[in-house]
Amino acid sequence: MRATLRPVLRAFTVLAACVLASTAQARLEPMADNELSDVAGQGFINLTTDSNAGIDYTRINLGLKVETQMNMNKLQLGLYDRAGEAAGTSDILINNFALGSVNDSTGAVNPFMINDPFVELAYSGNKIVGLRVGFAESKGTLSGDIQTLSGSVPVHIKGTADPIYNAASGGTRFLLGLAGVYRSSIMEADATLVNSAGNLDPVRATYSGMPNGSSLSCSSGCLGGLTNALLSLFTSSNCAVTGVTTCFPLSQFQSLPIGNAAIADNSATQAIEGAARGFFISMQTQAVSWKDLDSNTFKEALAGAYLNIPKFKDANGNLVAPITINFDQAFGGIPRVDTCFGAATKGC
Amino acid sequence: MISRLGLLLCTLLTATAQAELHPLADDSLSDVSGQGGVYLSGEFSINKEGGPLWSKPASTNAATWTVGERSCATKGSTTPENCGMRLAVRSEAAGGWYVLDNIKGIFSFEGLTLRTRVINSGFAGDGAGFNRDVLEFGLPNEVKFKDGSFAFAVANQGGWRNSAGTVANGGDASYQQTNIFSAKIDGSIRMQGNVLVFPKN
Amino acid sequence: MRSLLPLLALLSVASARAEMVALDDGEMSKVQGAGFGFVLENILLDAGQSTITINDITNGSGQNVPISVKEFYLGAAGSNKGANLNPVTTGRLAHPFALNLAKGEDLRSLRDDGQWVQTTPNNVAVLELTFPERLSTGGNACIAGFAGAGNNCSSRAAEKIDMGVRFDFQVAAGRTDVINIDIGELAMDGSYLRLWGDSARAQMVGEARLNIFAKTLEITSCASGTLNCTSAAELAARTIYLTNSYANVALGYGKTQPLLLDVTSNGQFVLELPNPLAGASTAAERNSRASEFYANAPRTNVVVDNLNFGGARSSAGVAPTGGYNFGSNEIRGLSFNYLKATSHDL
Repeated sequence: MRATLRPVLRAFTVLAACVLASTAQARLEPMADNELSDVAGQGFINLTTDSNAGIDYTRINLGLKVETQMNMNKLQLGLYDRAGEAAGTSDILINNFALGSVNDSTGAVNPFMINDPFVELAYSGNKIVGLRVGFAESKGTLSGDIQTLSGSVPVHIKGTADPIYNAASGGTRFLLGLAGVYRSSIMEADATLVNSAGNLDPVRATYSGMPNGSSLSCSSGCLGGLTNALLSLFTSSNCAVTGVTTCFPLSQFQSLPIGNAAIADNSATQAIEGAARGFFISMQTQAVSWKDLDSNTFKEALAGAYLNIPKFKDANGNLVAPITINFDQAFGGIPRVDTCFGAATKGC
Repeated sequence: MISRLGLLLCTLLTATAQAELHPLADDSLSDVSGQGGVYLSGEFSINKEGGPLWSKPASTNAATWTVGERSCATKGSTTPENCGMRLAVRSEAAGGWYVLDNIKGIFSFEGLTLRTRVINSGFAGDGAGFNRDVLEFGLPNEVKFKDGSFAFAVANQGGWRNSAGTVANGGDASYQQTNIFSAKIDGSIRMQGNVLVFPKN
Repeated sequence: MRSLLPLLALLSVASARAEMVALDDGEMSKVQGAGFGFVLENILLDAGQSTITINDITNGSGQNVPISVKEFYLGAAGSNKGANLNPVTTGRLAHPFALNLAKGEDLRSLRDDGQWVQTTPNNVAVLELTFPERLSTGGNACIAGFAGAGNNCSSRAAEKIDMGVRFDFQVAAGRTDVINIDIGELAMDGSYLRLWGDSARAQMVGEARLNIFAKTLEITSCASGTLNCTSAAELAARTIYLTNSYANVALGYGKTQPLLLDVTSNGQFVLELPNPLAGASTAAERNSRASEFYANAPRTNVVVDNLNFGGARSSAGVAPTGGYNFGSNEIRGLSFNYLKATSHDL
């Protein structure tokens, strides 16, 4: 026989009023202007949609400012057999990946800064064809031992021609001199993901360099238009321009500066000054065009895993590459910055 | 705690026998046999018609609310709604507050049971080695919600202030509450099973 | 144990005297830490008859985007995505869910190499909520048939759960995105949340680990029975399959990098993992803190052994064929020297 507890039952049974409250409207209605003006930023998550060429996009934006210094032993996306690629390779494989750097002498960190991360899904009808994680703004040092990389990582090389002279043969130095290029001239070139033959290789690339058909240019300290005209006669072919190597293994770039470190961030503003915009990593089952939040245009990412660090507009409206290095760094690589406290610089 | 619960159960068991409560002598207590237990059903509502803090205003436009008025309607709705219970917690001296806001609705359940049980068998072989008493909460077969809601937010003050209202109307422009999300629950959730609770040293 | 004897005597059929006596100090002092264990016996949850709506997520114009949560279920493994729900007993009597109050120096965490190390500081009282623990010896496969996830889980196959939920996002007029998640053979052994007060910082701090082991995790982007979503082939083409996936998320290392969750004075929240060297004054102290942190702080791993979009499984738990196969994807050994995330209104 169960012991029923009448006093307890009475206490618990509360007769609710029989009024059935109407459920709140879930239908979307435009807010009146006075109501809109009262909503003083109610939340840090919002959801936006886009549509382009038959693909619908849904993006969840997080209003977060993130500063971080982190290490991971391995970042690997897309380890599968792919036509035209060596077996056992991944779309993206970076060992000892790190964001930001540390200062061992003071114990302080130089954080990598991220503004407004988002997650976006691309739908073809009701089928998800792509997924990406991106940052509206990002700035700092990205380090790692890059084994393979798929995506779009434009690099701008700008610096004095001194390293080019050092790497060049006597004959090439003579040609450069004829073209009006001196050791002190400021030269520029654009590099992108290529294979060892200089062809564009956005899938599982192991090199970054000047693609076949591109040439160096001189921005100051030369003979102006004459120099550029002469330089354009010498295009990069098979990873070389007049004997000077123009493709470099990704593994030698052990740290990459993202954004413009020379511009200091103003902590009073929400925006990150000098940041690169539109960084994302995506995975898609077909070529999917993702929206570039900076330019509002759509940028195509190939099937597979894809890392995109796009060019963006700087304060003057010019399209600049997110990574800028000089020729010393291009030829010699960029050593890894210290990302671990203590004796080690990586692998902690 | 278990011993106090045992004492309570024993006291309640004897309550049906006499109208006047007497403490039982030990030998009477030790004669009590049979099974203890509780079977609960209940329905309760929280702030279904609003609560004591705020009355329902005439519109959802926060700038028009006077002192003591607040509507907790969903964003975009033009019909004002009563507000539910608010709970705010601060985990840091001189910090902001975590808020569970607008907790309201009608909640009913039937068949929540409570009893003790000896477990010395079953549980895919674990019971024999366990061989102890547990407190068994039997989940109700069905839990019904009607217009249940709550919101999770963070705020810079514990009590709600109308940031859009004028000072004369009790407003405080410096108040900032960021709603992370809010949820509405309607309908019934079918469940079965027991939660077994026992001390663990 | 002794405190239960009077209760047993009173409630069972017994003729012996059963006088209750308070525990004396000597007996009380033997109790080290206090806690409750929980086992969920024959549990089944089915919220298919209820509607849960999440609001306050807005679109770009500030309008509410309601998210409906439907078809939530929880039951025994082998439910065929909730079609045949059976009750499950989760948590074991010897390794239950637990709510404990313990001293910081008594608590231990399992390191990746199988060693138990102290991660919480000394001289604090820690409130701990744990899931069934992971074991240093013995133990069962955390994911059946996949050694990479480890073999030190206390939950056996009978204690693993099938769980599912469906989210409908009304993103725009006439467009609803459906995300239907079904998890097969889920275990969360070794997860915990620990909270204590830090007097130097004058706030509550914590550390947390979230371990999720799932044999299968499937995300279907359409509602079964709707347009283009009725036949098995259509459903398979609209499903993302994760097979043999696990996540060990580590947030905080109590001794030098506790997890800080703050709300700022302007009503925004901040999640912070401070620099473990903060406050160290000499190089020697910095180096010793750094090596101790790198040796003992748990790290985050997220591994998906097989990720496939749009294929089909030949049988339960087997990696799908067809579709686009992304193969293995992983993040290994993630550790933060510093993290600060501050929210702001969009």
